[in-house]
Amino acid sequence: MEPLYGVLDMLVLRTLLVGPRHGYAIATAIRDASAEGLNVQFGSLYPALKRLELKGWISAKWETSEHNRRAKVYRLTAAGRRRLRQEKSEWAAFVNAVAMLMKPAAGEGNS
Amino acid sequence: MLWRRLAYLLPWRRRAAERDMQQELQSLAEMAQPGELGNLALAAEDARAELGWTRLEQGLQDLFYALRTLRRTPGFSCTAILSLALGIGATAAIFSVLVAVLLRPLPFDDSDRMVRILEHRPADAGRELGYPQQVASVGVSDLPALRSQATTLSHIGGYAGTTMTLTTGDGPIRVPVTRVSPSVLAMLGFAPRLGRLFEPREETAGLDSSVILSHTAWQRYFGSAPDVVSKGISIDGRNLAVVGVMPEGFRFPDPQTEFWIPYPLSPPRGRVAPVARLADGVSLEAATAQVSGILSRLQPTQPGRKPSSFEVQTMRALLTAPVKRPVHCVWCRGCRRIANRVHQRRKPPARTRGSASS
Repeated sequence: MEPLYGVLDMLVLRTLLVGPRHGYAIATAIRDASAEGLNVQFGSLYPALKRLELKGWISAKWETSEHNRRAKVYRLTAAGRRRLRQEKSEWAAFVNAVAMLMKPAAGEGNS
Repeated sequence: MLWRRLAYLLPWRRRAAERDMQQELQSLAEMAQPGELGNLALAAEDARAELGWTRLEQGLQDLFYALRTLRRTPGFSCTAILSLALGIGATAAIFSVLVAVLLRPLPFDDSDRMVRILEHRPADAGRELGYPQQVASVGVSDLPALRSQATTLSHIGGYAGTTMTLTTGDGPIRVPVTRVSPSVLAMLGFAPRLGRLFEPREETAGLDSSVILSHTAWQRYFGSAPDVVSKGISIDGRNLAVVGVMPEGFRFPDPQTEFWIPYPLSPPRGRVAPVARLADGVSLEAATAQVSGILSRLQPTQPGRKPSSFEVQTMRALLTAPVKRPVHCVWCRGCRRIANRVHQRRKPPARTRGSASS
């Protein structure tokens, strides 16, 4: 499934918390870390990278990779780290609220 | 963030960003499986939108496209611009008339109670015309019956405009004259500047040799002489006594009229535009019902003819009705003309989203 609108930004920031990555690595990292439960289209991911860069939460730099390939690598900025903490707590509150609403109703039984 | 956006407006910064993006997408495409990343052009397009100004850009593109198109076909452009200018100009002109006529009330007392009688003649083989007609006149012979029987109306009378010859010291002049019933002048509620209005007896034949001057006529032909009242003037070879001068700004039924003379009831000749004052507390519908009854009885019944119906209408409706359609028409016709011309021309090639920026 596709992530909810606005969640993609948080996923990208979380992925970059581990270390700097280029665009393709971010896409595969999200897919692998969610055990392919999340299908992030590159067409959505790439504009998200530009958006986050514009907001100053990530920075980009051309680097040469281990396979001697040039790639544009993104890393989290200090502002990005603060933003990730904030989004994390907001997300937790959101999940809690939805979970409270969606707990099994009395007559639903254990099917 | 704002700084980065503003920088993106500079052409060289934008070109650099564009180059950078293309290189990055190229490098990513080399890493991935073929087709794994999907439509890269679309991704780039959406990324550009994130950088902002897309809407402004597209607006500018459209504007320049329009200017190029206009310049390529100067003849057509001039025609289109002129048509639009005429349409807008005419609409504005008519609107100013509307403001004067509708938004300011008629310059008469109780102008909302002023009504006219309208005859709707059905289309009918017995008549000369094969289509329905609206007639805003009654025979002079019908006026006495209306006056005696119509309790819903007062001041019933009529008027009719004409042109007559005024004999002056410098020779004859054709002047606009309105024949009007004394009751109608009285209804309008204007006091004369000099002298008096017509008296009811002056619509009797033989007692009708009176004339009232407009302010303009008083100035133009009599040099604003204060002793003009009771002087005699010659109109259409008849000697008429000036009984009054109307104040400036009195216009009935049009601004052109310079002289008013009484409309004689006898002999009952011709047709007049009937006007009256709606009695207080009476609705237009009630007046219409009563007037229809009276006038229908007066109509000669002829086999094979459908009877006319009658309507009592406010004078305001009379002033609005002829204006409403032209207002719509002028504007619509201006637009339609241009639309037609555009349609006749070859359709320009369809533009695709973002085609000018890649």
